[in-house]
Amino acid sequence: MKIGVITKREKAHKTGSVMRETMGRLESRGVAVEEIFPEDARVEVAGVEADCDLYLLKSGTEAALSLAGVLHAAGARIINPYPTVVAMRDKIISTKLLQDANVPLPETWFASKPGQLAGLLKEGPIVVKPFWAASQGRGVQIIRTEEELSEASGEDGVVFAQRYYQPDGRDHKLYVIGDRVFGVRRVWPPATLEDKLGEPFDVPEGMRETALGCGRAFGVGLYGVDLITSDGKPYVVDINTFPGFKGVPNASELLADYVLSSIEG
Amino acid sequence: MKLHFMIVRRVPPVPSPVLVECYEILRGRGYTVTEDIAEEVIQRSDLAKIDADIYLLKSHTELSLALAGVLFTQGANMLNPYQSCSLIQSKIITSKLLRQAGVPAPDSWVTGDLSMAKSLLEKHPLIIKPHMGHRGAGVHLCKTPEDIDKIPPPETPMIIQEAIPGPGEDLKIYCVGDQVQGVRKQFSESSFSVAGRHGEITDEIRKISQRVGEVCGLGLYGLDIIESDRGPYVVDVNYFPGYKGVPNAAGMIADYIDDYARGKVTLTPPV
Repeated sequence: MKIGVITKREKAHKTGSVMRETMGRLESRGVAVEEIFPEDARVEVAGVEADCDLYLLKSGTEAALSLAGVLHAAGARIINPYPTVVAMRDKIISTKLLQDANVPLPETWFASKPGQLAGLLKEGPIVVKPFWAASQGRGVQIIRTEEELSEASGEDGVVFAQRYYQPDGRDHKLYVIGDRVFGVRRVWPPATLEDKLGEPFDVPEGMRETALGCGRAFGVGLYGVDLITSDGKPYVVDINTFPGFKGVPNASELLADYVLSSIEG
Repeated sequence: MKLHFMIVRRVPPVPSPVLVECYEILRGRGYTVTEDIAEEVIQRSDLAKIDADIYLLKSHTELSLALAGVLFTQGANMLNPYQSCSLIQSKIITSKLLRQAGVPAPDSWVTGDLSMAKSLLEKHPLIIKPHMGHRGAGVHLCKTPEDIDKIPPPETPMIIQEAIPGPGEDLKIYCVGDQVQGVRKQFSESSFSVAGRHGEITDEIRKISQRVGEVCGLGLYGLDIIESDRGPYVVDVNYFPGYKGVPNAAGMIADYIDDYARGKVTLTPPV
């Protein structure tokens, strides 16, 4: 059995990386693990073959996603599947799927020019985010005035906006592996290493259901959810296709189990 | 039955004559035809719902594709299928699909580091372009390592292809179902809107073009072909092109949509 891990070289070799540990565990269970670094490669497209039993799409870069697309066209099994990752990374499509699954979300709009959103500011601030593949808060702006709005830039002619809700406390990171849900509270943006690791907490039943609902919306079992509460109400503000699982107890063992069970079907 | 066309804002803002004529024919056959430009409205994603029997995705903008994706999640019937349009936006995936199906397409590589392309120049000149994009934007012909050095460091993966030597003009192929029409024109970044000459095509090119439709799951589509000494090569594929220079394009498109609406033709996305 062979598993290909599509990752970034600098990430894969960081000590304490959950993925690094997971690969070690898979190898000790007799699985061959091949690391694939799309950034370092010159890939001959016609020569790409799905020669691993399963691929893990850990990296979220455009190069990684292109390679996953080619592997998908060649019939590969990928966690998470390529079309699913495309839907999850497109905030417009993912919002609709989450709404259909009754996941609590901020009110959401999209347009082609920031000016089209001006009317929304009468009801309060909005958050403008890149609609495609935003991660770790990059490009996220809280907009309170028309002036701020006019300076906000869209991306490829798309402006994605959500109502801003003042969070009650720290952000909640929910990590899902199969039907297990783990919670870590984090300060955003992190200033210290402690902030980065966050503080694990017991996930209440309602929050657990919300996290699992996100997975059902896309048909996936390995993902992360960013959730805030405002006035006591939960709002899912982001979905990650393959998070770092930092701060999750036993993460590498659970991941290795999950990966092996999904190969065995 | 209601048909909804998702179109793009044109510059200058005059409607496409092919579409206008197509709408007229379809209305004459009892269809309700509507259109809109995604860029002109603010949308609330929770309100997006299906209100047409068939959606026709004519626009290639990111916003239109995302909206098409939303409609797809709601189970909309879309011509061409959303999955097909979404996959072929990536030139890398398209290249894989074509080569895997035995369609002649240039050797292709993908990288984020263009210095890795230089050794390929020992064999042949290269075409280097962004992995997404259309209409000749950002396409570089490179014959020497210096040509590659002149390309600004890419922000997205680049596709590198063997530059297939051709007769100095592109063959644009426009397909409506299994009907294949050819238009020959000079390639240039600025002249994509210039009509070419409608011309004869060989049986080989007809078969290749039809095969591309099967492989990609497209019914209304276009190809760029280079007719080289080694035979024809498919260098680009796009969904619902402009059909500029194709005689009776509107009539053929309307007939095809009519057949599709009656269930006489079906399209299967690649994967």
